[in-house]
Amino acid sequence: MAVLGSLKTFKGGHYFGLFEGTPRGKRLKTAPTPQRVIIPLRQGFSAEVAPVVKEGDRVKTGQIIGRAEPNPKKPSTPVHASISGRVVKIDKRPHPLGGETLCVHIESDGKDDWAKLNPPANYERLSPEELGRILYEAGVTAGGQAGFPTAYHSAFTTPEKIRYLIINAVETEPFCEATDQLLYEEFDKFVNGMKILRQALGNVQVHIGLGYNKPRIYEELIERLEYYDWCTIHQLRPKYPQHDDAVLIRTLLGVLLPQRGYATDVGCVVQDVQQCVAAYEAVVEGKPFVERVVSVAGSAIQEPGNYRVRVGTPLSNLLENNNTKCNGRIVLGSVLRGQAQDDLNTPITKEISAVIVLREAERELFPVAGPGFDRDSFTGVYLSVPWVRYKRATTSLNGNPRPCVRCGFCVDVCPQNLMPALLGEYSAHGLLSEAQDMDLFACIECGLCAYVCPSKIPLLEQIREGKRKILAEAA
Amino acid sequence: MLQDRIYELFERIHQDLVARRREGLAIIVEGIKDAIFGGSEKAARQAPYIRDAIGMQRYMGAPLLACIPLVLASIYFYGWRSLAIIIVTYLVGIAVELTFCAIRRHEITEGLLVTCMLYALSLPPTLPFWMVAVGIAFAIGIKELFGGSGYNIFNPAISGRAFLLLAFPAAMTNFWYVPFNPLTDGLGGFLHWSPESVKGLDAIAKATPLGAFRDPALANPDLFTLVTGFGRADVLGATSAMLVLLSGLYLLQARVIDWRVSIVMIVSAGLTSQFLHFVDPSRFPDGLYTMLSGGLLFAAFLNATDPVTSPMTVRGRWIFGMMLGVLTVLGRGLTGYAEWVTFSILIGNMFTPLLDRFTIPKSFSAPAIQKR
Ligand code: SF4
Ligand code: SF4
Repeated sequence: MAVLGSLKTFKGGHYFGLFEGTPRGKRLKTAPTPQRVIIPLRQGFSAEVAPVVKEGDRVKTGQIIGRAEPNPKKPSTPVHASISGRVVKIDKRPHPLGGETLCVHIESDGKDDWAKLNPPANYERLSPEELGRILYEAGVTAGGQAGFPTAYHSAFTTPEKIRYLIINAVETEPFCEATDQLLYEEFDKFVNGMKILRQALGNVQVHIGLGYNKPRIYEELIERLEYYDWCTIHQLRPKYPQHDDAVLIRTLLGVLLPQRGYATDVGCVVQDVQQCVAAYEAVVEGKPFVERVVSVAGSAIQEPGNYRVRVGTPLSNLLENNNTKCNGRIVLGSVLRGQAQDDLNTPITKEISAVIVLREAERELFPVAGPGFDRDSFTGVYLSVPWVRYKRATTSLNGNPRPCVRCGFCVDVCPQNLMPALLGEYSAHGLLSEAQDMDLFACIECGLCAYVCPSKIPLLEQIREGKRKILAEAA
Repeated sequence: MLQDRIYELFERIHQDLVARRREGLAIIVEGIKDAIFGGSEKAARQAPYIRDAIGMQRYMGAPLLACIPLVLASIYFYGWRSLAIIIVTYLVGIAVELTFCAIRRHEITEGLLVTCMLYALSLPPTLPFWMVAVGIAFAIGIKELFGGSGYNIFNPAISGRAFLLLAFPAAMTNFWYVPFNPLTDGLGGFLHWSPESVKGLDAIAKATPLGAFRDPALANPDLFTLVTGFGRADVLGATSAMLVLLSGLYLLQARVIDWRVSIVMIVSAGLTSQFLHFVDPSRFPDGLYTMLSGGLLFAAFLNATDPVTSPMTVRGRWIFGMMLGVLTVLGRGLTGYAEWVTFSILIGNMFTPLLDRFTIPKSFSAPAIQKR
């Protein structure tokens, strides 16, 4: 095994402070099995699949309720019931990550009967095709920003074209602590899951990107993987957005991702800790991927924590059990790139690693004055002292947006080496070809530019709008 | 709560004014409200849902904070008259800006406060008040003619100063005060209106250190005087190089200014000057003398780094800083005119859009694959 001694990182980015309401170091708890789940038939980047159950059907936990014929143009992965019970409704609903999709509503019978897969006893002897089938049938292949390729077209590419498996064990999203916690608590499953995923891809090279803030895991990984030459461990600075596919691949391999492309376009598959654990549970324990870890966090949460949650659990279930003062704003996944949700029936899906509830900005008297011990800032104008452990995550815009003062902060933080100020301005004024010339589509929508902007210009929104317009024109 | 009631009062007045179509006044009222509450109640409605704590108020507050030691020092060195200059600047500056805001219905921006401060600190302590007023009125007027903060091409504080240099060259360059010296004068300016009011004509100095270098009849001040400013005649803010350096370091760590403009400008000026000093010592002082005289430090830390009028790209900033440094030294040496810091900044400002256009960084991405 190759261990790279030096710390790797990338240009730009930002180290977030530890925000108030972050469940750091909280042990994983299992959330109560919900009475009712809503399961979208579109998962992550996959295409929507057709339901294979009808209203009134009885289903078991882990039973496939929706699947599509393998189609190279439309990658997909089967969808599973996450509780046992009766299908009560199939309807179109907004997907928590945008757009509309068919959803299956299941009401629990309280038994939680499992329909397990029957995996062969010794997975190490299985061929990549056989492993791929199990992973596909278990719904593991839907994860990641570009899916996991199998012979069943669960991604835009095939396993033969893959040269690297990249393990993303560096979570830099603020408030998202659950996957880190999973790494600590299920270390064995993680390591074996990683081996399974590698085997399913035909024994490719593995690169592990591990956060520098986890020395214990680092030691253990070295101990476990010492004698394998297929594995390289990289220690990475926990700087946002290191976990993003484009940034991670660039940092680890020095390969640039094509604009509008996926990791699979450069022969890489990126999988996170949750995916590895899910792969292990599917192949060794026969459990389909119906439960994931989620952080319930944010300044409006009284007791932030990390939970194992069934896919499809409505937000209301999660938040009620957590003494939430539910007057805040609910954001799924990422406070920087995610979308706020008003509907408490919105289900948790396989991609959502955190539910964050932020306190609304409150009016303050002379908020600019004062030393700002508990502020998080890219600049040094606040005295963010180390002994104030938790920083305030503010949603405040400090007044109306001002004109751009060209301070260059957005240029400094952009991990893609772009000029967000100009991209935003061009997009907002309809100068779309100029924006495209400046590589608008290289933007990974990390949201940092809008985060640091002192003029509070909605750069991310402007950039997204510009991309939407260009794609609409091209269509 | 009192706070809520004040807030509601402002809201009511504001709505009332809007209803009566007095938008100009409404904008002023909203400006005052935002100054008190910092607009803290306005929350992000789109991703990202958390925002950096920095806002424009705090961002522009940092240079003001950095200027406080300089203001105190100028009061000490040149008496309360220097505070009066600053106050006159603010009164006139705010009045002009408010007029423009009310007429052109745009919001008041915090940059004004910084402009006024930097402008005032770069004036000679002897300048008549009416000239102070004319200069700042010109500075703000020019900025507004270009479309207000964020759209102006020229650094407003520097353009005001340049205007004074051209309009009143004698008043701007020929009369200086010998500052109170902490080594001999005790509480100095804190007890007096100006050095002239105590010492009479004895307090008049002929030249700043840069002027002294040009004039064979005058002795060059030694390094101690240059660094501490004790007994060095200069503009209000730049008398003590030591204090300016302190402010600059604070701003650098606060990231409000970029070292690629400020430090690069200072170092490139120093190196150029040191090199040319070997060629022609009568025209070019040594590097250290250049760096410590003629307001170079002050301009490099506080004026050249004005975000609006300096480039945004990293490479652009490098070039901008070097250009300013070299231009300053060459200008000073070749024309014999001491005010080249001011002019080189104005020239640099003209090149800013060009620099920005040609130094756009290459993004970390490969071209799009044509498919899907
Ligand atoms: S951070 Fe905001 S104000 Fe600064 S250059 Fe970028 S867009 Fe302009
Ligand atoms: S331009 Fe895109 S990639 Fe760059 S900081 Fe902004 S959102 Fe992130």
